[in-house]
Amino acid sequence: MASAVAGNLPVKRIAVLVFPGTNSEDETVRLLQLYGGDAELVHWSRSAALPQCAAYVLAGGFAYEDRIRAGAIAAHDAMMESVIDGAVRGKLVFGVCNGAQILLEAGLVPGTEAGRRVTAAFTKNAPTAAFVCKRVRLKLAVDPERSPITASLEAGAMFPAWAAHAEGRLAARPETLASIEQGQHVAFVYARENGTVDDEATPNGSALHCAGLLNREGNVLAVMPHAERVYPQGSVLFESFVKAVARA
Amino acid sequence: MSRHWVEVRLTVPDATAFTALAALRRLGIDISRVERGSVYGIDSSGSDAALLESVRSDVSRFNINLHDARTRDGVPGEGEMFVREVGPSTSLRYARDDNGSPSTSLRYAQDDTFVVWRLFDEEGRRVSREVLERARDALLCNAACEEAELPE
Repeated sequence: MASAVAGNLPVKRIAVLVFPGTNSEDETVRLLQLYGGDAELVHWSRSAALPQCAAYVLAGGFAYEDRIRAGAIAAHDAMMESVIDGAVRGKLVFGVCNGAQILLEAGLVPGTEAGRRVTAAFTKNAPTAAFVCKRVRLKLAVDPERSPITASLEAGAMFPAWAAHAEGRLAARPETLASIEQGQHVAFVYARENGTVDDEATPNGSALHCAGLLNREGNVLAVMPHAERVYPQGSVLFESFVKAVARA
Repeated sequence: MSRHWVEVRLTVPDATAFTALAALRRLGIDISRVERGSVYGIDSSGSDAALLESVRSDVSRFNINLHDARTRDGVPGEGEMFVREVGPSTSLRYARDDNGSPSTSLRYAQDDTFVVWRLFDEEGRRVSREVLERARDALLCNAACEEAELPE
């Protein structure tokens, strides 16, 4: 049920999923609400509430302690059944940091092949696998209209965010990387202040300097750095997401 | 000097192995127990006892309150799977081939470090290769960043 207004757009229910070990849910839900989103936390024991929601946000943290690989266990949690079903039916899904890792482990992004297959990972940073906590700058690398989630951003939009991860390096087989490039799956790249995209701007050795990935249809976005932690400059991405949910 | 293999395992309950068991069962793979360890290939000219002693003294890999170490084969045995990371062939440091496609030549020097998974069926026997393959594909190995070795 629409319960708020973002601009002149009706707003629909957004679920912020909480797995055991998720730790960024509060700031995420507050930010979505700040932009007029009808957002609520949905804990793993309440997965039955998910099908009624119009969109899903997977917040950062360490779901299931990153056991086996970051996001690997959460990707098979019962809550993900609703997320996957919704994504296949076109609902908007947005994952941040650990949420992004979960979306890759669930095979929802990059979605370079038919069906839902795991073809990429946000894995250990390179050249060292150390945890990175660094303010970075994200640059929109696709046409904003490529995805409803980015549609309210300007072409080439840049905004700050915090990279806070030990596993944020996009990794995939070379042929998959080529498909990711050709299919315009790289939504965001790391950039310098002047917009230059290079190794120095990339804090984790990520392939293609990738900071965020879209699926083929454009309704699932996985972004590693925490844009929600830089208000209001970085949180424009969340504002754009809320507007997209309202339009959907 | 020759290559020896050492497996380090937890002596306390392994939460990751237990989680893997629960997740694999949820994914429809009928197993009753999962064990996990780290396998290291080490060049040594000493005895097994001396090798194990050196591993036990390496605080970066071994905690005497939590771990046990034993020598073993360098290939997976029945019911076992070795998983190791690959890359960063896929990192920004990849080169491009003559066709402009991403090309891989760079690898971590981690060829001799594995996670070993041991899976047991409902009767407590080590599982077949077919079950290992299903577990590999469903959960235990992400082919984008890892590779798995199964028994011959």
